[in-house]
Amino acid sequence: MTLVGHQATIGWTVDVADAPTCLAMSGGRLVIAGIEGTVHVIAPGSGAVVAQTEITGRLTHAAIRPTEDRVALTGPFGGWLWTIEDDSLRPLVDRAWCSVARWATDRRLAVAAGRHVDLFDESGDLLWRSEKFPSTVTDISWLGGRHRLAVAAYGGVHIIEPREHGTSTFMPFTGSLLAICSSPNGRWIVSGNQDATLQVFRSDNDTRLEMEGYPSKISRVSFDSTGRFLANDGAPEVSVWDFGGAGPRGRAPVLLVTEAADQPDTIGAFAWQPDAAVLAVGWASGSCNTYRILDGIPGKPLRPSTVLAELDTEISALAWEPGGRAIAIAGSDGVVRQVELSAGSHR
Amino acid sequence: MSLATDDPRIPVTVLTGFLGSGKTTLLNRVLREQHGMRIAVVENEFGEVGIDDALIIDSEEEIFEMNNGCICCTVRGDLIRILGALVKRRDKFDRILIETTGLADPAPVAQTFFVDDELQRTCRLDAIITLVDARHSLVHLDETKPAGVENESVEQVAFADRIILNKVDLVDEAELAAVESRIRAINGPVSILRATFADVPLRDILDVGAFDLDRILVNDPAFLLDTDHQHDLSVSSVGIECEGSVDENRFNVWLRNLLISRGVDIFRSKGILALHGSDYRFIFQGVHMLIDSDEGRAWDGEPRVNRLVFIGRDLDRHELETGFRACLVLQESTR
Repeated sequence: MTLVGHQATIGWTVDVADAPTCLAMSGGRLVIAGIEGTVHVIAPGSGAVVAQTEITGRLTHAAIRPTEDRVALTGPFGGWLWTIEDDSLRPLVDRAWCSVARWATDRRLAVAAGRHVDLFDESGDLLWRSEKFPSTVTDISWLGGRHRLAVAAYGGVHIIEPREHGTSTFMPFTGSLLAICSSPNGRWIVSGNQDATLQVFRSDNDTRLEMEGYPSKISRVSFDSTGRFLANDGAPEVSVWDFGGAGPRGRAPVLLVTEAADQPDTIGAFAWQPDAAVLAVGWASGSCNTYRILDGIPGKPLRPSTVLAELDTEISALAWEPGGRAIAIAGSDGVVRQVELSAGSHR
Repeated sequence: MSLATDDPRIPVTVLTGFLGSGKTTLLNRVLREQHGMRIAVVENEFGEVGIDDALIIDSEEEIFEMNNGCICCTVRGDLIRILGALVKRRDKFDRILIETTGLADPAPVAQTFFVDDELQRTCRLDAIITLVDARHSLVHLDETKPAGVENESVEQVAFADRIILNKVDLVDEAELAAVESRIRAINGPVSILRATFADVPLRDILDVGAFDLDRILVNDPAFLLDTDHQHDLSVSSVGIECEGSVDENRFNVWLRNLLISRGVDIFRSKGILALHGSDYRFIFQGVHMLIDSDEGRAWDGEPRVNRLVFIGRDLDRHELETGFRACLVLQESTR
């Protein structure tokens, strides 16, 4: 059963017969990557499947190029570049755990390839391979969209210029880094860590902050499109930190809770609405809500501003359409639902 | 406390073993036999085989220290990643078997299940199974390592909940008795299964609930079995059994101090206690400094007998017994 909130209406649904592990949206295409290796491309307007392929092995991540014609796919057994138009699947990395792939604004593609980072051109030709990192690379982030990469591997953050004789800076942190993100201007780099801390680094000086006290590891971190707000997991509620002005030092996060705030839930996924300080959060209970962050008070719980859906399945991934008027919600039941926000909600 | 069979989490069996002890033979049986169980196998050094694919990835095991810098909190980062991805398709299998390398230290594997909260939610460590080659094991176990280098064969025996003593057809009964005696000197409570071509019934090594103390005490008469003590061995086990009620605060302080000071040397600890003022068993089990505890079954008129076992290096039986007895509210005789 799918219950849709009073400020949202259901659009289309697609059953991909796989557990969606990642949704990637770019312009007129939505990519659904399933844990079993299935990949579906959906036209967000109609919900029609316009292309599909399958990877032998499993998938953990998909990244669609902003021009919408190529999809980078990564998983425990390698990385691939899928060109949708001619349905060609080009192997990029063979037999290495590839956590993520990230497109730069200049169409280059960085892939976390085992203990290395590989850089490809838009056709999938290898341009550069990094030195070996201390562990499998868990995440990467382009600083400012291109030029420099922040790399998360055991023992710290590496900032590298992916070219021959490029400079490299190491920001040590004794621990296992699980996720990394950077603010759009490239100034702030944040890692979520196995030891239940959030480490904050400045790319232009030695500033380093640590947010601790989380009950569990932090494996999701994400800046909003302006770089002012950072969302992370690590607790039954989503923490949102204000990086405005001098940064988050001395500030407390806003804590996003479900409607039933007294019943602990588990975070399934979250995604920032494009060009707005609004976060959509999908929970393991099946609830999917939006939160207007500017309504929040630091250190206090913030309840949902919109109930997008109440599903009977754990929510595993979310992706906003570019205009922020609709969102794709993936459940672990293999169904992806589009939910449209009604007029008057948020925007 | 529920029995392991009532636990919705996926049981995980860790398979260790000496090089050439028969792990591959056993794995082939698990993968090829029609045993009716759906088993996902996480292969040597983080590849994965089984279920519906057969892929092995070239990588090295990733052993991480947690940020507190304690050597007892080293975990396997690769395992967290693999199992995290694997459980997303848990409808495809009922249990997980992790095969470690022939020289792998089992501690970081076991500790991973104590340290990672996500794994704790979805998986439960069921047992550590060690394959031992009956013909060559004494050579490995008696091998003298350079100062500061661990004999990982000894550690694999010390950590084990079950030992598969394989290739028994290659030795005579006297040699078998010598090997078993040597194993029991290291790990008194361990169950030893004799085998040829690793032909043990899979039900004896999968879903045995070795980390479920209530269950092991019911099903495993070898727990706290008194064994020949070889005092010249650095790695051994000490069992303590006595009636009486335990002062919870005193016990917590004693155990905490013991594990802080000796946690590096104490590989495994298990216990079932009668806490003063409680009608239910208190159970705990740990790996090095990491401890899990829970409330067990009600005593229901059964004798309130405390049972503990420590397996580790250079253990002092007198010190452990004295320390534990000081936690008793009522002093009663030791059996």
